[in-house]
Amino acid sequence: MDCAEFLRRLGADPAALDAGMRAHASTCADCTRALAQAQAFERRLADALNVPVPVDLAARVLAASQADTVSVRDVAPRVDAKSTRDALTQTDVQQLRPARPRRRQGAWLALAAAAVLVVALGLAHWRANADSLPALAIAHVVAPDERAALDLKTPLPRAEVEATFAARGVHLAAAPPADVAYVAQCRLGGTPVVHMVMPETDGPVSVMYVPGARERADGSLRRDDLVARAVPMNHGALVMVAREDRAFVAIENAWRNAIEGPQAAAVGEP
Amino acid sequence: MNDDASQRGETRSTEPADSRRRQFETLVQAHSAELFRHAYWLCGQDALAQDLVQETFLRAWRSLDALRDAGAAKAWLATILRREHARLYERKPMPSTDIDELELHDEAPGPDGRGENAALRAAIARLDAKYREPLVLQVLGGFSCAEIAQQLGISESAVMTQVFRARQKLKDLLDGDGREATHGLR
Repeated sequence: MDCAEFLRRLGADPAALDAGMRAHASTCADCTRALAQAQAFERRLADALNVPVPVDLAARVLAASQADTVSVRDVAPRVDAKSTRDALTQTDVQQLRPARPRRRQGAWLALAAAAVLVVALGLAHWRANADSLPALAIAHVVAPDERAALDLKTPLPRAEVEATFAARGVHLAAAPPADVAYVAQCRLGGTPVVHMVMPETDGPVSVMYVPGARERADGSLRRDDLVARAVPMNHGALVMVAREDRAFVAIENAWRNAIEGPQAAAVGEP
Repeated sequence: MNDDASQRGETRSTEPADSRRRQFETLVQAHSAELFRHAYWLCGQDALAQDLVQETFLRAWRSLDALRDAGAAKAWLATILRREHARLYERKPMPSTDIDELELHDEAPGPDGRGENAALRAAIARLDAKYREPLVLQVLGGFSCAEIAQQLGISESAVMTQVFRARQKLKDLLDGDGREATHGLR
């Protein structure tokens, strides 16, 4: 094996070192060095790919499959051979296999149908919510790269907040709230937003302004111990995410004042 | 059939169901975390990744009888996940974004964006899906190039080329502008 072949195979799969590669590395200082670098990079890569997993994920998957089991077992038509054997010939019974013991079929069917309906509606609602601004905002604030923002406390200069809004094409009509501890240009599902964190008394509130998304300001969502609310504001939407929503009204008013101007804030909606 | 026999019949009939349930629980406990990470790097969103994992396991549960070799479970689940992800795109086309948007030149680093992991994650997110997916399957899933080739329906040499280039591109991105951070995948 020559160095080129060694490096080609090393680059393709650094974890798969065969005897030929080991033998070559043992005789070539450059390839030994390349091997060490590749292995160090692989460790970094594995660390970076290992994003945190929601703690209750497996439990939720099992619960969902349990609901699926209920729908399959109890809604599917079933035939009871034992209770009907007196009325049927043996041939009939054989034709009706597989036989299962009778339970209170009518009641169970009704109950199961109701359960299926509830689950289906819940899933439909959940799926519809998955792409909503509140859902995207919650997903964003719990993303590994964003969690540290919630610990920031020191207010940023007003100019930095204004500049970030300006970079997103939004010029503030009045001074922004003074207690913005984090501001960044981020994206929610591909949509450019201004992402901020405001350390309130009850805990940090993540605030996102989504320019041009006024029609997507679609209410509230509670998920992962967080509550998110989206409200229309000027041509965009303001989305707030926190553990508690007690500060939301005050924050909404403060940002309406900054984005729409004092007059609009005084009367509420523009 | 007397009542005792009936009872025995009842017991026999529930045994396969219990066994099936146990097999499924083992599958979920063993693979849900890895599958979530795979899903996360497919779609780039935490909530959506959870949704994908749930859908994947629901499909797996319904067709568990098709899994004859427990050793093949990981690849089987990964294939279901990729199909679910593809279905998601079929149902709801992702918003088209021009190349300037994808460059993400105006993104500031996240709060821990100065860390090595954050820079590398941002670089991984910027990789083209055709490079990122085989790389994730290899590094996270531990699949060989041949196994990845089978899953993706391409040749083994194509996989080797893609994962080689993926690593090169990551190193280039880290050397070039590692300060960029993003939360959406290319």
